[in-house]
Amino acid sequence: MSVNDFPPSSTSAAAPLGSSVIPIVNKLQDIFAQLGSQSTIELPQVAVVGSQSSGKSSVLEALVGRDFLPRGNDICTRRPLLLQLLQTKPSSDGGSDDEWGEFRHHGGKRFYDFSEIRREIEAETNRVVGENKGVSDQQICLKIFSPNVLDITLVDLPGITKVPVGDQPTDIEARIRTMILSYIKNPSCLILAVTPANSDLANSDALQIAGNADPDGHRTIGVITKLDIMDRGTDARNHLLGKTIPLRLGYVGVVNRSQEDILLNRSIKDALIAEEKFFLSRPAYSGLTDRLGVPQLAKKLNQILVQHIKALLPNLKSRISNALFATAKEYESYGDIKETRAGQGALLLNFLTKYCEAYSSTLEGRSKEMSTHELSGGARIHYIFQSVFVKSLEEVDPCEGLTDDDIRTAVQNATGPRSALFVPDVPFEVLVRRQISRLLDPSLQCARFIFDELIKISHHCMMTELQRFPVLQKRMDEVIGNFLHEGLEPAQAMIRDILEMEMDYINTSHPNFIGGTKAVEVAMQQVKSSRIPHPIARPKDTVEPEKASSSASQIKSLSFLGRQANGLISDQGVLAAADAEKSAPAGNTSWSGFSSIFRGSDGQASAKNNLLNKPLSEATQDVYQNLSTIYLKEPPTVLKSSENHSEQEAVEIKITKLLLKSYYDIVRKNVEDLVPKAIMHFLVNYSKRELHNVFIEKLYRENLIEELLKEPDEIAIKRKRARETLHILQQANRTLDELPLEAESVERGYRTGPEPKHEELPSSRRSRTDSNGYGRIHM
Amino acid sequence: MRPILLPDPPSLSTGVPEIFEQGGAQNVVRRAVVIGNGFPGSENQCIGLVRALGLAENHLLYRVTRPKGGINEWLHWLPVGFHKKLDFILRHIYLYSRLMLRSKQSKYIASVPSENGGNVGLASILEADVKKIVTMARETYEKDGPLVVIACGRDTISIASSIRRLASENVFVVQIQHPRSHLNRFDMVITPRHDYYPLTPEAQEQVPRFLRSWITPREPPQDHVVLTTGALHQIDYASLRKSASAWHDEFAALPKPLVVVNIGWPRRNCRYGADLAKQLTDALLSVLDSCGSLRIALSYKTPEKVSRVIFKELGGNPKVYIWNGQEPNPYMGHLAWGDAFVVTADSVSLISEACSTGKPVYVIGADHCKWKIADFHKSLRERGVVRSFTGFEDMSESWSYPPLNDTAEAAMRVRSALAARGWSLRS
Repeated sequence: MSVNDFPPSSTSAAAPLGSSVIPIVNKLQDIFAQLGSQSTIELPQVAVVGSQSSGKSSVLEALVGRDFLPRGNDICTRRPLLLQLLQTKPSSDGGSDDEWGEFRHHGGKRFYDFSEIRREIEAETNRVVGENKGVSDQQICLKIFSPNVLDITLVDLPGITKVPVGDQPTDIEARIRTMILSYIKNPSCLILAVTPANSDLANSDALQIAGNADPDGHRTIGVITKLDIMDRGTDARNHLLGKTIPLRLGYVGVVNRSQEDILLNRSIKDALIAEEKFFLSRPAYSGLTDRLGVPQLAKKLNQILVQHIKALLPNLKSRISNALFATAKEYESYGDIKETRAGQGALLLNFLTKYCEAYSSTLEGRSKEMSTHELSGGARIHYIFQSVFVKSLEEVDPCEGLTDDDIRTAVQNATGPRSALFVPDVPFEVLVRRQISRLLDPSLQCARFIFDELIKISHHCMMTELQRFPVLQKRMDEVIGNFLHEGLEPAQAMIRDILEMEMDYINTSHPNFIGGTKAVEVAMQQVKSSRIPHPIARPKDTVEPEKASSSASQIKSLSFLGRQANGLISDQGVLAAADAEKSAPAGNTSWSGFSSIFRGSDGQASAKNNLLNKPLSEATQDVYQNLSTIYLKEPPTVLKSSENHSEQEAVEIKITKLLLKSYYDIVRKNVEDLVPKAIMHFLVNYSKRELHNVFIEKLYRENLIEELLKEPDEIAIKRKRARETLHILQQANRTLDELPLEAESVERGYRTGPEPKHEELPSSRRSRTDSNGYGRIHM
Repeated sequence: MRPILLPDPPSLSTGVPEIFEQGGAQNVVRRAVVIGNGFPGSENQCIGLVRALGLAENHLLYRVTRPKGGINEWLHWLPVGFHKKLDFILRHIYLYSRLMLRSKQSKYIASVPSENGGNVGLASILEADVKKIVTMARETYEKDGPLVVIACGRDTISIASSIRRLASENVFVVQIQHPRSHLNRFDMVITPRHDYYPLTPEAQEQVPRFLRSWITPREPPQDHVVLTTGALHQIDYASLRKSASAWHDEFAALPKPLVVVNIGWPRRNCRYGADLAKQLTDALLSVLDSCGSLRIALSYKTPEKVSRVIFKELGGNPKVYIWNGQEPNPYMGHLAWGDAFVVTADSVSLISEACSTGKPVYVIGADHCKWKIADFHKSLRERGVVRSFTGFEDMSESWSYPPLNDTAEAAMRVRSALAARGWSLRS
């Protein structure tokens, strides 16, 4: 194992600290740059703490690989030195390989000579705290620019001293401890607790103060220096193995340059070789190679830095994958564009098919974009059928707009010149047809509603996808509009047919129909029961009592009229008028018809009759006939049914109404059932079945394809941009996955490009590395 | 839940076997005997020293038990040996009298614990027996080397000095706490500096001349007297590290800074009551803003009037946790994880332990203390180790000082004294 065959160091000393991390950080920086964010990776600070002359500055220097910190055997570091390493671009990347330092108190002055930097540190220390060992917590800021360093901050702190000397105040130890604590309290500060091997580890000031700031020990590395000047026969095995004081990150033993080395200006590189030689020469330290030497310390630090970066990664990763997902989705929404004709045709066909699928699934409620906060698609159609159409039909009163008079007139008309022997069929049929015809409008309206609904659904299908192709969208809207119109027409025709069918044949044998006999029975019963109680005593039944009372009083007045048929009109009129007046507040309409008799009989009818200015009634005729005058008065142009309301008539009205209601209910049920069926068959399901064919027929034409698939320019631009972003993100994601964060690769050093500086030293070491099975960091 | 820690596996020794070192096996100290008096405060000091000497895994604890209960509470002034004999006689007299008189009234017997918890089971600690210890020291000297005897407290003085008298060739006797007289009966006396306070001119003024000769110590410390700032204890960096990892789960997530309040109990030289508790809670409330979290630990001897005030004033505060006495005692976790400490002035040991962490320590109630304890506080303040707790502090400010290191320093003195006799400690 020769150490003499090292090639002579030609370029600047290698920096073991961070050498393997640099490429990773660079890559990550690139990723950040691609993401367009300025946030960079903030690496932890590294501070060295320890008692005076324990070798803190030397450890730091060895780590940085530069030789510029003041050293000596008494207090040297008297002000905290903030050493910021800043990475510059290497010459291969358009920068320069120069390395220089800048002090904050010197502005932009560049120091290329590192021994000059040391002199400047000494001078600056003396300027503030004097030459006589004074200590100050004013920090010196030094920036080192180099292409071979990590962006990291190292802090060299004054050592803990027990006995004040020179200009030091009596509480020097407390002051230094407070100063150290102020740096290492920062949770992102890595602490190198430096303890010389020749002092008691259990009472190590460094470990003690590190423990105050980091009780857990998760950011403290124990560094045991001066292994070479331990008592003969003693060794630091137990310390290094953590048996004396356990430390989560463990210990590393190092041998720093001696004062003699410094005086002789031996380079750090030589010192590292000497260090290794020392460890090899001590059997006590065999088997501890992973805990010995500055390179191991650097490796440990690198691993911690990598851990730190690793801790950042999940966040970064999720950011990237979020962006990736969003971009992919956006890109997808722009769709892919095909250049060839066949490709375009396939695209169009695919599009049309997809559209039809979307249309169908929306109707069937299997759409992926089903809404959860409102009804949509097929559910809306169902709602229109059930809650709009059926409900409105149910609410319709079959006798609405049909007064008893209307019915009576109809009955009388139907019997013609004779008087009916039985209840005639005709008025029922006429009336029921009239009522059935009323169902046509709502049924057609329902079809219209569904049509609108389908149009709406068609607009919602593939809305986002279609935005790409405005021409296609427009044409499709046209086609589907026409197509649905085509469907609407047969649906409406069918509805008309259904209603015509209903009107054409009044099926009085329908099992649910009440039938004549039953109707008569019910009507008779109703009329009888209504005669007994006083009309107003039953206010609940709004229609029945009125009818009952009217018929009862009509009968009474009619008999009255019959008895005093001779010349007592005026009296009768008065009486009747009085009667009318009395009853008027009860609001019975049938009285108006009755009172009109008198108006017709005498043009000069009493003034009181003016109250009841109802049109003439043909009842007057009968009265005139009774009066046996010579000449007949001309009949009024409009004739109303006779006023001699018999009980028979009332029953007839009742019967007609019952029949009407019963039959109307049957028809209504049929319509409620059939109209939706017709609409579904002729419009909805037809559209579902045929839409695809129609589209293909209308749109899938060779000569149309190009025009249809023309997209607006902005979409093309957006797609292009999304594709680029997607590519970058995929790249970043891949880089992130491939980051060599495993300990093994970190150990070996991650080299992406040629890094000759890091290569030259270990070339001979590797053989040793391989022989003892321990990976060593390359420097 | 505290993680289970496995002990380290035995290490592979690569060093030279110790018999070849420094002239033979009988010159290497490998074990220690601790003589305690049953009070945790003093036994803790002994064990702290044993640990610092590196003999923690190889020490025996003996205990001197003074009879307790009934009339014994008035007999503490008696030398413990005599007291035990007297107790034995009293016990027998009582037993016979009861047998004869068949008296059922038994005030005395109600509280007669036997030595060391009744000698029942294996857990009981050996009663300190001069003869046994001396025999052991002599017989095993050849094989196991010299014996270090560490005793603490007044009741152990006679035993420790007897052992030294009978086996001075084979033992090294360390007495912790000032034995008042006959210091030359011990190989080493470790005592706080403030035990010599009566000798200062300042203290002399406080005492009438005719009483001065009765107050110990009467002479300034000799060479074999080690003066410490505070009490010895078991807190060192290693134990803090271990506790930090043991208590990691409980403390790591607490908002920082974590302020720990340790409350002792009033004693002869430092009397206080609810007034100090109120002052403490007021001050704590006013600094609460600068605390991330606050944990209060009361001693098992803290009087109820003090604890009641604390529970009343701070019990419901979400930032405040008051340890309710349930095991495990978080004391070590507090020392390891606390960022600042507030300690009542009464307890030298609590303050010494907090001050050995190097973290800010605030003392409340120092003005209630007098005589030696006041001197102790004064010396700590002068060294910048503690500050008074007023309620105007910023708890997030961290300041530091050279931590108290009495135990390690005392151990170093023991080592060098042993070395002077040609003995060495196994390390």
